[in-house]
Amino acid sequence: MPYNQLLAFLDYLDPTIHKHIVMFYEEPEYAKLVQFRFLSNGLTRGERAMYVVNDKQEMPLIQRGMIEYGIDFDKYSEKGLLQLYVNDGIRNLEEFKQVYGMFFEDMEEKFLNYHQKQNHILPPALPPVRGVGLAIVDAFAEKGRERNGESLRTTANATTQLQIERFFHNEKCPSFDGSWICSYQMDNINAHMNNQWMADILNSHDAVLFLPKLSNGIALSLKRE
Amino acid sequence: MIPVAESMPKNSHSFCIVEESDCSRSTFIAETIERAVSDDCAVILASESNPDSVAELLDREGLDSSLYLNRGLLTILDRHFVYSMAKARFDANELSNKWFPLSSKVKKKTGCKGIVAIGPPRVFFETNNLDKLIEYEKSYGRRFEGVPFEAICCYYSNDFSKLSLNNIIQILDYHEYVVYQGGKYLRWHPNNIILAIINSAIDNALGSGTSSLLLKTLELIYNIDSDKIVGQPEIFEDKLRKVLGITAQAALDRIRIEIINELSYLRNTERGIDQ
Repeated sequence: MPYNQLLAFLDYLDPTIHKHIVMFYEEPEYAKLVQFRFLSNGLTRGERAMYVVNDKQEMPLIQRGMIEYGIDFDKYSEKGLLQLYVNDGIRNLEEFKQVYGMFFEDMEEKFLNYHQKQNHILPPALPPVRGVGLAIVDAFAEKGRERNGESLRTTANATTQLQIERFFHNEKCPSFDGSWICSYQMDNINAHMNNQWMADILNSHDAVLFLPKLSNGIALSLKRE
Repeated sequence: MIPVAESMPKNSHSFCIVEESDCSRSTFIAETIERAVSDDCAVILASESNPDSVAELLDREGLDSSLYLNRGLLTILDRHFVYSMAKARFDANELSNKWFPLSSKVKKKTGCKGIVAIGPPRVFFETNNLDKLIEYEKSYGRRFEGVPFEAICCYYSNDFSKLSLNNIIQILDYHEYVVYQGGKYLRWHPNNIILAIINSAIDNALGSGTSSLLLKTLELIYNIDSDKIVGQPEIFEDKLRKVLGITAQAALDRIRIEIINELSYLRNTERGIDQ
């Protein structure tokens, strides 16, 4: 049985080094377990956690999944440490800045409100954030999935997603206190490894998690220095 | 399938890996002497043991060593010769100057068409001169064009396993063949064999299917392609450590072990050969 290097990477993650992580997966259930482990590890360390879904209908599924994984959803939510948000369909970088800015503001407010209610004279410093979510869904999927009868995959999606990844990596990451996983589903990860966008995506992250079918997966640091 | 070698000498610089404690060393030496003599070559064997005990060992393998020694077809050099390498401070030119005059002398004396020289690189390990070993191996090149001479470096597996992956790949690169039991010579160039082993070792260490993703990522991020893995193994090793962090050592150890297993003289191989 090979050593599960990917899970060890998650358990010993240093968010000051690996802030912006990309995950390529083939099986959604396995991807969720990895995402929950990542968030749960952070919550255990006193960090905040945010999960951004792409469809409102997913919210109860994610909530149930977290509870089944062993995350005390109610306790962490009440303390303003764990929030779920819905991304209704970001179309460009400006919308990304606006929508994600609102998510972060809301999360901060909920955390501070909780401490106000507890009559804490001085609120504690904001803990780092661990997040999971994408700006644009299915930007690099080989088959565009449909939502409301409309195919989600276009070249424009891919270009915008890449623009957002670069913005977050270059502009936001240096001051971002936390770590974020961008998750991309694909039918066959290996088949995409020769694509230019794959090189671009890897070059816009600090680490990559590969979760191919029938494998434990692997985590690679992409830090150059 | 690995074909039996052409007749000796093959004008090549080759190597083999034997176990020190079992019979593979004496099997290799006895087999090589028999093949060389049947191809009208004389053998010069440098040994770190004394010549009498080497002769005894060969007799136990069923080789009438006294017959070969008396006819000058076998010359056993003693510890003094081997350790004179250390005295020469492992200078590659000086070491070559020790081998070739001796070879000419034996050839002239026996009237054989060529010489097969067997040398153990142990002294480099004992004196912790691995950099000099690499330099020495490199200085010979893969072939001795126009010279009826064949050199086989006989490594002990214990020594060989002390080498880094980088050094192992370099040593493979500096030799034309790896010699296996039965006079089978396997050419590891171009690099498809070593790359196949690296792939399989990473999959075994980190999980099936991970190797191709890891190697492709190295290529996309650091421009480490298959040529660079073998041509500049020190860079490959360095980048592997960067992307895998503390897990890299397990992967590197696995690669080293699998390569050494593939190189073992007594390995029962089905692998193909490029002659």
